[in-house]
Amino acid sequence: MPSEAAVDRMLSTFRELGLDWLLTVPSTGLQRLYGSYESIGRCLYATREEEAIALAAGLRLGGAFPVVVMQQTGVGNAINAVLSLADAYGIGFPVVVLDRTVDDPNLVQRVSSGGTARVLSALGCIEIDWELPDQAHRMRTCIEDDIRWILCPMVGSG
Amino acid sequence: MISRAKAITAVLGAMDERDFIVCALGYLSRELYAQTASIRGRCLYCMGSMGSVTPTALGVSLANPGVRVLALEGDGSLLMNLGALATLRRYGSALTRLIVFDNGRYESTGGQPCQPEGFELERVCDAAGLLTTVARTEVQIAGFLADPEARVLVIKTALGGRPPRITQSPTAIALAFACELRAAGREGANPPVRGRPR
Repeated sequence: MPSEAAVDRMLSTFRELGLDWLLTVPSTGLQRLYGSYESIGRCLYATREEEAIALAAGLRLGGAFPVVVMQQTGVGNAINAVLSLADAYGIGFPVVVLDRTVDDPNLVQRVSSGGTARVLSALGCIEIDWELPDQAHRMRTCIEDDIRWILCPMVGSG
Repeated sequence: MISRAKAITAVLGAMDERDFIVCALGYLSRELYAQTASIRGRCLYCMGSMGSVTPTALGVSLANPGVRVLALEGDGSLLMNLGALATLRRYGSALTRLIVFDNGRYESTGGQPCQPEGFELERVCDAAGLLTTVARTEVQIAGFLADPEARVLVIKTALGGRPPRITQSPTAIALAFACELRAAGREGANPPVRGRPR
């Protein structure tokens, strides 16, 4: 589970970068993040990750600037929508993937984490560790360079 | 039953000139493209991402609360993401309209069946809490678009016709759509779309 400091860093960075809608299939330990966007009516809970991608694509086309947040288990669900909608149509918004890592106590999550990290690496992801300070500039670079996938290790989650 | 081409003609004839359309892949988008040369910027023609039309239309609508958006879905496409009905019910309004072209087949891939015998997609939509009507004629289609409370229309369509392919690039389609939305009046500082991520 991410520390409160990590979640706060993520939230303040999202706000600083103007990410005005949060689309997600919920992940453990992010209540503060969800709550902040819920308080302004801009947190949408999707039924599946590809739906979150499609919602974000529509919002972006409509002039908003959304961010999609998902656990690494959702990446497989999301990839077709990312490639054949967001990427194919040039619709830019970041997808933040919270990775439970290969050290997770849940053995299935370890397998999922290892495989997903390899897939995202092939798709050109950037890694950001929110447990470390001063990550805002890395996220800003991702936005400025239109890097889609941001992989964030959440060590000890579960 | 009505042909897909006639059903699309009826939707276009009955829609408001300020409406926007997000349309599912395959013959549906190709048919719409063939009939909408004069309103290109108001249509997002999907050429992939099956199952994404309804949430994409909902996203457009949420970013532009005064704009009515029509999501044109195939029955197979809707079945790929039935969760979209829950999301539409939860976050959508009557300004996000779902119009399902229901021929019971995956027509673009050769007509394979996509529903079991007796399956009634309209009952699924209705059970999701979305006021749903069925159309088999142009008049019924027009009635749905004129009804301010209606949410979902299931049009029973016949198989037939192979429209030409879409020739516009997807990035050009998206840019035109985003620019048209901006011109329709949304205020905002963000650019409509960014370049494709690396």
